[in-house]
Amino acid sequence: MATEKTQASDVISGEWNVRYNYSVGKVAGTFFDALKERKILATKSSKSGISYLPPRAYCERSFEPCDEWVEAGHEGVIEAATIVSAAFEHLPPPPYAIAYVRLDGIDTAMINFVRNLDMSDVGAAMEKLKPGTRVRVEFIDDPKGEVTDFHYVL
Amino acid sequence: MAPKYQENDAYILGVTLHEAMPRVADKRLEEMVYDTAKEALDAVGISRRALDHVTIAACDELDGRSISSMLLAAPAGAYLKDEIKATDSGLTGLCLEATRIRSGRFHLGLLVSWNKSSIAPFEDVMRMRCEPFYTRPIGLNMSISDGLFAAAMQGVDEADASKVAASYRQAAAKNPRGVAAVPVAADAIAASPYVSTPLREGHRPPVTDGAVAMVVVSGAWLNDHPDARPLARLSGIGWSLESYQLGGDRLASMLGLKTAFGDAMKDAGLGNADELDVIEIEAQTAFHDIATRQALALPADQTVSPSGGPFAQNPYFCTGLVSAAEAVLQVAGKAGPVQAGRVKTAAAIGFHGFAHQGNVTAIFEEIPA
Repeated sequence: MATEKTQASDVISGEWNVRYNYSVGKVAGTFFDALKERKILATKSSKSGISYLPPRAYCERSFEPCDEWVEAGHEGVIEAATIVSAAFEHLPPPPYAIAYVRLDGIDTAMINFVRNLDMSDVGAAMEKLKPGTRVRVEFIDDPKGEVTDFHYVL
Repeated sequence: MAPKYQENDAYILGVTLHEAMPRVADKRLEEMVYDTAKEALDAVGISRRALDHVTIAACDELDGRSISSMLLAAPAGAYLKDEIKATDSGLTGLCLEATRIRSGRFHLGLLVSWNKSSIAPFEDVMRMRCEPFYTRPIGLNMSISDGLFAAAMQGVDEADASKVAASYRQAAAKNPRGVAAVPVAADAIAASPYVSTPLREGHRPPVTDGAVAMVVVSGAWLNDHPDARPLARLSGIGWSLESYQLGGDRLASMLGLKTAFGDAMKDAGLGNADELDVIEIEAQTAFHDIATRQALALPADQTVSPSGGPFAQNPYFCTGLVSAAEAVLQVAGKAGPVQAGRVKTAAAIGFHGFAHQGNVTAIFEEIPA
């Protein structure tokens, strides 16, 4: 079917704003409460022996409940890190660094920002974020029970 | 005379790719889907009425409408048909289609997948994949998770990735089904801006609009229609899902890929990757291509993505199914300027989710004369 070009605009714009109220649950709730006391809590499955951070209610490998709490160390090693150099809608202005860090005593890595990093030379900054590099946790002055209450520093 | 085809095997009777464009500006999505489905059926002389099922694969968030199949199933040919939808990826739609044919209950189906990526800020839609507790406040999207993946791949430097991207851009420029990619030299790619270190803009293909349809039939249907000439047999298929939680091992081990690939090879009765004449990889970055080759220990002379892969066209949600279409065309000897000689077996490897969480491998086999 042949169609002729119309006079109408070639797009109709639309937005759909929906507010979700996600249930936090007991596990994440305990984690967020502990952050206010500058503690980072992981869960552990006694069945598999795996500790999870962020905490999980269950172990995805043994498929048994995580039945223990373990406090993570405030130091750890980078497993993967990147410096975001492109600007994306609804994300922080670049550049900024994020890293998956396995905190001492825990089996899984948790993502967070890496602060106080000189990123004027991105290549040089990335050298400092190589897997295996040790970092430490730094809390903000007034933790509110959110994941951004802490970040990593070299 | 014994039947020529195994009754419950799945065969690809026809393949249609919508014209690839950065933005299909003159059609609404419904029309893209209809045009692709209609052309696929017409090309093999099958009427919609004859179909006993339709499988679609699409993403509500990328379509911009919840349960988008309610509107888009009909242009995919599914009015009053047995219709079901896969929402992980286009190539996952082929998994679903294969199980339907292999069940022995279905014999003539249409598989349709699409993505009008241009309708919304793509990365913002990808950001919605983050769960709201731990990752969304930090902010991940496709580019950033791919940057983390590239950073976790130790022993692969940016120069390697730049060379790979350059070679695919060159191959993609020859693919008449692509968006007319312009070759770019490796040093220019190496100088392109960082997106999420070490991932540079030039290391990844641009996202495009597109759609793909396959007419899939059972061996039983072919035995009843001796004049029909299938393009390929789907000889093996496997899929696997890794952990949502990222970390060093999860990013670099490619365990899901190895599992899906191994399952598909076993299904096809094959042992080693070098038994595949062609492998089309849905590599969303050059790092994915290198990681796949390493994980599967592909021989250095393995023919990989002669189509140019996603650098030819990259309608993100259905790019894996486009790779499968290219693999089908290879075993049918119909890939045109990117045909890699005689191809008896070809695989398509697809990924979906943050940093290749989901993995699919499909293997296609030549139809003996």
